[in-house]
Amino acid sequence: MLNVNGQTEHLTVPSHRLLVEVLRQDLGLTGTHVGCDTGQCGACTVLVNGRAVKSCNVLAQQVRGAEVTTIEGLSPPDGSLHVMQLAFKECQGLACGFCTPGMVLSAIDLVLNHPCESEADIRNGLEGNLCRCTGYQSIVRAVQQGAEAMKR
Amino acid sequence: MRGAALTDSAAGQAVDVHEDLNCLTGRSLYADDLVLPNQAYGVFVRSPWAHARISGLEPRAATACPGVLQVLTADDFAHFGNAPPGGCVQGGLGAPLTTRHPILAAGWVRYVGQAVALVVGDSVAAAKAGAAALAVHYERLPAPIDVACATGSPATLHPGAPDNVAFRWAEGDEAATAAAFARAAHVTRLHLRLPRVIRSPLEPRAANACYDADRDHCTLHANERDLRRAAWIPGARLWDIPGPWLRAGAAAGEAGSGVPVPDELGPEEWALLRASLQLGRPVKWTAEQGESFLTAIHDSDHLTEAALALDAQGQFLALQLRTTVNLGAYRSTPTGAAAARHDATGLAGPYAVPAVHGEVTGVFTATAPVSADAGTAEAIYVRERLVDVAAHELGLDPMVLRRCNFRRPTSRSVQAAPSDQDRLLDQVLVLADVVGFPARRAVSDARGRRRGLGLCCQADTGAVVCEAEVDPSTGAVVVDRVSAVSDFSAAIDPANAERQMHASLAQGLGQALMEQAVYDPHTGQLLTASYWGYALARAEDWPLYAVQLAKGRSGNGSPSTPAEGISGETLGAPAALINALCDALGVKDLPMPALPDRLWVAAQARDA
Repeated sequence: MLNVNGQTEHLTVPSHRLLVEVLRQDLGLTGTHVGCDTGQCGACTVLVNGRAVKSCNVLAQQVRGAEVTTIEGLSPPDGSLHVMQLAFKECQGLACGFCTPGMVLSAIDLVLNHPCESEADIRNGLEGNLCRCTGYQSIVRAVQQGAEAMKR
Repeated sequence: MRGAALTDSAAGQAVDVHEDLNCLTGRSLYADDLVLPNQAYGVFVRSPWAHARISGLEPRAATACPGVLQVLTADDFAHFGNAPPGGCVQGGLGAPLTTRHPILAAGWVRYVGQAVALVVGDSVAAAKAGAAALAVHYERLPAPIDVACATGSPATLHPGAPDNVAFRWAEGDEAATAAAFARAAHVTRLHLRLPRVIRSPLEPRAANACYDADRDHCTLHANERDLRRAAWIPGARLWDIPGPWLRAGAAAGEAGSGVPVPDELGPEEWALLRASLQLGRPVKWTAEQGESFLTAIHDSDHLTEAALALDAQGQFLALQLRTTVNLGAYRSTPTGAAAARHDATGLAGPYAVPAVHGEVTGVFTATAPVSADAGTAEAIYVRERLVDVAAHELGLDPMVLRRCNFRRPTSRSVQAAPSDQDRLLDQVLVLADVVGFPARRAVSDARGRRRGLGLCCQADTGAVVCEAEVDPSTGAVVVDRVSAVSDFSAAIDPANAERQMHASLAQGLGQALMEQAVYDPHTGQLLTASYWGYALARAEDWPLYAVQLAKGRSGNGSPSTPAEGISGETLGAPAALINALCDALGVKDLPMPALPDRLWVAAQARDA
């Protein structure tokens, strides 16, 4: 039994299956990306009980009973955006967009669970998420703006 | 690239990019996200050796595996030469050797990771099991790996190239250049190695080929960047598809990768198209990251001897360049042509140089093929390093030496009207607060750090200034300030243009400081085949960049050339950063990438 984006999914999952495989292949949640296969890039980041987790490094069995949030479950069904998504949109904190779901979810964990007062804090906090196209500047700006909005 | 709503916005206004919304909510479709009805799965069997003869290939055991649907080998491509379409270098010294990349290795493998067979199964697991069961017998052969020794190596890669030379190219006035060097008051010489880099977008290579028998056409969904060349395919039925039919599909057309990896279809895509045609089902392949690193077209990898001749007043008299370009194992596309032309003809850049001569030798090595785009960035790097070293040797300010050699419409004297390049330089020096540099350096000195400032004038289209601080006790670098001015002519969306500048600056800084593809010089194994070994910069590696679009032009020259300006700062950043690091440590040259151990050694040697 998996709780994904507020829905309970009853699945028979072999013990070796990774969380990212179940999300992408069994549940069709392809917003969670596989970038590097090595736990480096963070494109597969999801929230497990509110904390950022690289879903390519977690067995699906390990999150049984936990609340998993993917990028698809971040914004409400009415089509509005989470303030962090909105900040990424307004600051254009993306280029090819492949790292974006992981970046957004890592940023939310960063704001909720870690000190991110300064630009340096944010840069340090995004250490687990690689981006090849933006040079990070617009991402850092987006996280700064999103953090302000989340604190309001 | 992502679609932008251009129709309702005038140039100069912000553009709303609809695709951003899909990316932000997980609805974007990337190549691996696509699932077609009844799709089969392809897995490639790849060469474990850098150079070997295939003495036997027995597909029966693989075919017998449960769930395996077909096994493709070179035999399946024999009737159209087993090579994708490609161009060749026009001109040059002697007949250039055309060696197209086989779709699947026929008889020989020439780099680690070269595709030997495609196993298709009804699941990835079945295809993988089949690939593991495929028996391939190799007779290993000596392999030229290091481009520095490939031409003299007894190990040759192609029968038509006993010295591993694909082509030699010369450009410019050799006699005038030699004469200028003979009468020069000062000659600066530099040996440079520009390491191989891998563009490595995060999205793995992936493709899904779908043959439709009713309409007799094949649709390829792939994340390759430029599928237009697919229209070049001649002949056989599979390939005789009008360009519009072989559409890019959602992955490339909608989201795609902003990073230019291969701009032509790779052998894998051709093999998948063929497999789908034979099977009558869609065939999908998604590379594992190691596979992407092994087979993405690599970039740079030049070995250069360069020289600059100056007169007693510091005026440039001549530039000379001898470059060896590592082509990798095959020249399957116009690879090397661009490198040759750019290196030789682009060398003078913004400077008035009466005589230029360049020679480029394209060399085969048993490594992955290198991009056709290489050349422009390398020419800028070589020239801008040369100018700094000349200034270093002559005790001149690098900025002054540059300025007094800029091309000017009427006269070469400093008193002539300022050129567009002068304006760019003025603008970037203000942006970088170069006036405040001595004070910042004093602060660094007091902390036991070495601070340096470096400049790169790439052409009439842009200039970059970097400021970096080195800890001489560890070799650690802090890239503290990066400033760039670029001339986009007319930017449709200024904010977006600035973000493109950020992106290209980051690429260039990464190349200067940390990125390099490393092959084991003996075995030809790629040692940097994942992000564990291949360094990609993280957010905390770079500062906030100060970027500006160029201010008004002089109006007496030609219109600006956005073709280079659009992503120009990538091209300027490596030289600016290496110049800054050399300035920081007071050394003439540093190898690229400037890794901490190299900087530490340079700092210790300087202090000894």
